[in-house]
Amino acid sequence: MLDTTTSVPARLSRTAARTTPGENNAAVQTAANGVAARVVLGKNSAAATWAESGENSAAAQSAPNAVIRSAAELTSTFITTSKAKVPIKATAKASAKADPVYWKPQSRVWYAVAIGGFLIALALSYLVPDNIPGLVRGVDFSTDYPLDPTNYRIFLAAIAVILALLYLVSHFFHSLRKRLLHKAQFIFAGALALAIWDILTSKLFILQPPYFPGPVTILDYLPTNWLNLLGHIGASSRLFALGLIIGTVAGIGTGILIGWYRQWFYWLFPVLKFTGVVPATAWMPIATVLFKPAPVAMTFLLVIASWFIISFMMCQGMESTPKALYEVSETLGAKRSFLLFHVAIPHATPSIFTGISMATSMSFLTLVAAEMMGATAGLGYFINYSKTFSKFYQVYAAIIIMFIVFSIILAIIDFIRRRVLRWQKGLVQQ
Amino acid sequence: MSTKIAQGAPASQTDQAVQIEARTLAEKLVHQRTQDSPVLISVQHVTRVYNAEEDSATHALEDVSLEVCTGEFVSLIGPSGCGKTTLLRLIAGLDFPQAGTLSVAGEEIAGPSYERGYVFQQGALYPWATVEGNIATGLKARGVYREKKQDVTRFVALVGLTGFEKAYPHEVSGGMAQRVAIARALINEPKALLLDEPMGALDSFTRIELQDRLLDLWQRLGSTMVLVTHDVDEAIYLSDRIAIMTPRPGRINEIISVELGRPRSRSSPDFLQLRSRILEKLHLAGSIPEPEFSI
Repeated sequence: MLDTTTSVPARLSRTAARTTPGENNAAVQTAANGVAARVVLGKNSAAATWAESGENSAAAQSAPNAVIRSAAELTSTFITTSKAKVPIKATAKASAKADPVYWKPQSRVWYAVAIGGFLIALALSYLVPDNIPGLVRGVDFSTDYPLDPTNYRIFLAAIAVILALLYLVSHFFHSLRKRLLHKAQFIFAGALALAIWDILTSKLFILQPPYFPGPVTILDYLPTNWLNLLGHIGASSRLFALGLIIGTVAGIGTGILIGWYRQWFYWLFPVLKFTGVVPATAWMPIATVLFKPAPVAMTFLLVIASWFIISFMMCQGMESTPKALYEVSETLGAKRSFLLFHVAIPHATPSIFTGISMATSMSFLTLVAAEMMGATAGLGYFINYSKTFSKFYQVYAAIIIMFIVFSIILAIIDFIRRRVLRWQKGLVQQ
Repeated sequence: MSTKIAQGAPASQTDQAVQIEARTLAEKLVHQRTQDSPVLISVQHVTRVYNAEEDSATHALEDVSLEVCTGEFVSLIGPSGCGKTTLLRLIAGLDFPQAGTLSVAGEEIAGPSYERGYVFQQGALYPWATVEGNIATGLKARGVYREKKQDVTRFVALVGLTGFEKAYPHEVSGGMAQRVAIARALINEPKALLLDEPMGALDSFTRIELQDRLLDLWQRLGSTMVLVTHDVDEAIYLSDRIAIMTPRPGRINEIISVELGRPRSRSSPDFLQLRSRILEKLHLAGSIPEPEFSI
């Protein structure tokens, strides 16, 4: 409270010094005097609540230009505090409200508990005795099944070390510290979940393979087969990137045509509306007949998945441009091409990014589905292939990799979006 | 003209002598500026009807004529629905009349042009461009940005926004946004600046500040300004002449010359007299806008 009231006049005085023309000073001065008088009045009648207001009135007198607005603020705070009679409580509330994002307790204890969680999981991995059966559903656990806990233990220890290091680093980055402490409880829950998962599967075999592999199995499998998996990741990513880029370019192109030219709108918009509802995977049989080889057909599907939605959003974004923006541009000497490239298209950029985000999710969906049906490489193919051999731990591994890869792609798109749409109100958080 | 004001309300003997002296001085100043200069904007018998083919036709303007001289500050005032914004849009070339002619410097208005800058009520800034980018738009649209780049800095300074060049519209206050809008229109050095209630959405203090700044710009750049407003005090404080408009159908009821010296005091007897006279006129037109502030 004290912080905000004292900083407001300072900030205002900076702007006022720039903005107030000289002739106004006399009027402002009298207003400033009025404020000082009022503050003193408040002090007399409610001395206890306004013990700190001396600082305020001092600031007011030293920056007379700034006081007009702060006058209203001061009097209004005075009125509210004298009514409430407990300004200190209000201050505490205000500071609790100050961080609506990282609202969890900022306690070091919880963070220590979180790190401890991973150490507990590690300890359980050593202490709980293995209860490995010989043969379950045709799987021989002595030879056929990855059950070496070394990687899992390294993983747990590594996370504990990383968390500890992050805490040390966060001494220098205040926002990182806040975020870490905010997430501490969740991290602890994650550690517990890992430990329980491990005990239920690889330790006690209550959840039985092959359908429920444990973290030990997955982590034993992943690092030894990463080269093989990398090939599948590459195949998927290539296809995905190609499809999304072609789809985005085509989508933006047709979006501009439809959004700007009446003729294009008349002929193409209804087509777009109808084809847009049909899931891209429905085109699969037709695509495989029309396009050979298979990767071309899959690219076609991905293009379809992104094209329509992006052009639809682009068109909508352009259509929703306020008329006043066109009019004001015309009075500034803008020609029609300027209206398109400097008014309509910039106005549509938020919509384009909404379209791209939607197209990305659709493309993931289509990609995996298409790969499961008719591909010879890629993560979708790998999942399908693993399933036929009942190697469900490979399915889980592929799902984890998908989660990582797709998260990275979404993060990249979001990063670009934030950079491009810096001007949008409420998009960028402090 | 001065006799008209004197009719409004009798003042005491000594006051009257002082007033007459002040008035003759003011008259000299005003007339020097307006009567010697040529007509810039000429509106002749203009009629604008919306939904003309339907039964619900609205006569936004009917047989309206107005002449604005070069360098003059003219306000259009009246209750809502009296066609003042319509008239301003016609002058800007954003709308066209059914009958009558509009011309600027002898040339008929064929459409919007950078020679008539327009400031919207809400500013209509480009939210994706910075303060600087918004102000530079006029130069870019005309394709003269390369040659006149340094004008941007000059106009940013002229409206007192130095230090806020890189801010986006949502980061600046309403008053600052309007100053950006004014600078954006002025950078093209238009023959006339048309202002459509630019201070309508601002609080009283910001409004007074912006009024002074507008006057300062008007005097410094010597531009012609036409202001639409519903605030009588604002009109008197700023204008050389005030056109009082009445609704249904939209017409100019009377044009009043404001023969007060500048800088004007909002509390001088002459000011208040003129104010009550205009309010009376508007009362005849059917409504009195409440004064929104008084000092």
